[in-house]
Amino acid sequence: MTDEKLDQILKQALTPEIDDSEIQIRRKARYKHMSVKKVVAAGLVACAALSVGLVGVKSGLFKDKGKDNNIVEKVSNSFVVTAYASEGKEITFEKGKFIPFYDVVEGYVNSFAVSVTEDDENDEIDFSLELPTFKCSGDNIEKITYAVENGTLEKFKYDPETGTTTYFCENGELILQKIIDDKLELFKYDPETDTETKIDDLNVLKNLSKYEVSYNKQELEENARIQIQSSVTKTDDLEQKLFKYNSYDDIIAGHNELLKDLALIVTVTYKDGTTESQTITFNEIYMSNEELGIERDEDYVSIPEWLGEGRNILTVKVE
Amino acid sequence: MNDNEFEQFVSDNGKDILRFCRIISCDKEMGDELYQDTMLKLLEKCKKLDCEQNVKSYALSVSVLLWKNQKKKYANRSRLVQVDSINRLESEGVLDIKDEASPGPEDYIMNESEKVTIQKVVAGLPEKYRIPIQMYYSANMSVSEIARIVRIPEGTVKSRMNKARTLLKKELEALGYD
Repeated sequence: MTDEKLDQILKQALTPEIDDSEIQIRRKARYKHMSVKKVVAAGLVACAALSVGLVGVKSGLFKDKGKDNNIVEKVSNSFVVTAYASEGKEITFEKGKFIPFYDVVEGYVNSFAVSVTEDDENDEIDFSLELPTFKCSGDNIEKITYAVENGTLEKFKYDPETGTTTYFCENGELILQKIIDDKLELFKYDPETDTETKIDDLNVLKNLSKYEVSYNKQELEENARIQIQSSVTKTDDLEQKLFKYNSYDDIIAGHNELLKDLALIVTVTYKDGTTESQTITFNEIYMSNEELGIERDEDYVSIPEWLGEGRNILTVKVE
Repeated sequence: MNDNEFEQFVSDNGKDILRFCRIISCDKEMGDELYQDTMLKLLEKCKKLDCEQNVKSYALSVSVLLWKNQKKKYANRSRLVQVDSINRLESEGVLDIKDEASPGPEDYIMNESEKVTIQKVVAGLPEKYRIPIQMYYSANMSVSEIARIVRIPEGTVKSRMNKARTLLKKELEALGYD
């Protein structure tokens, strides 16, 4: 084959015709991603910039949700949970109050995501919720355990430079996921020797029921993410809300039906062996552009129009 | 870049960008989605963009980043990226190319199924060879522009494109093109 012929073949094959109408930009129904992309109102920014989220219980009695009826009660000053948002930004939460949990840093817009997929075979709707990792502050804490009620989770770090995802497995192993020549490759990574061993079993990545972090190694978590996964039984009503919605009420009602039984349990274990837990739940609310401090471009067209009038925002509450 | 300039930019370059998105995604719907996401990203940064600069290059680099991110998310979700191999395509009869009496290059016109097949062959190239080829043909970018987008020297772009052409020739000849 001559170079000319190859050139001609590639020109024809790789330059499909595009109609003028196809390049129009539309504001889509982005139920998969919830984000605030523009200017955040000064008050909310101030709130978000404050360190330490999920300001916990002032003081009180805590019951361990531990095993073997070994319930430990503890009176303490409580611990404080902080959510890493991005690049030093953190969001403040208050006990008993749903606080909007949204991105405050440009470039982080796709990091808080809810994705909804149907699984026709099982007649279920699966969903996942991506969050930053959390950290805890307090005195005499040995370790922190994160667990999900009615779901599972994954913890991973993604390096955009190399495209490598590092998974933190339940047994403490690190698994590197790379896409090499468009193929998914997995490697077991040993940080002691800095060696990688190829894994042939692609199902090695198991969801975590929980994960533990040493208190004094929490800074290593800063750029990690957790993804909570769960599923609910598919109903016509839920399907309608999630996929054929007519308003933000539909979208939010659908998402909240997914989120209603989901909870993240944060348990700290103190050096004396006692434990203390806080429960984090999720809920979605509607916020108008005005409430969010978004300046909407008048020429910006939303299809349908109501989608451009506000956003569905994930909120987090410490129970 | 103001709204009118952005509109003009879309009018001038939208087709190239959409074409590239579809080609790199190997799927019309996913390509359209990628194009919309790319343009929405650009809209977010519209005020900061200088129309004197090469906004098209920037848009394509955004497309590549978003596509890689999508690919990663897809891989996360499915745990296994389905990759069409030439052998599998061939065994399933998807690659149904070429009889012995192919017309000469000067009068050779491909039909739609052949175009899809060639696109799949290109999609089978390793990423470092594929993206320059797709940018060159689908997005109508020059070698120097591609070098700026993928941040490698022009000479490297040229050598990768040559390597890509060599690999493509080999694959296409194996499928009956001569």
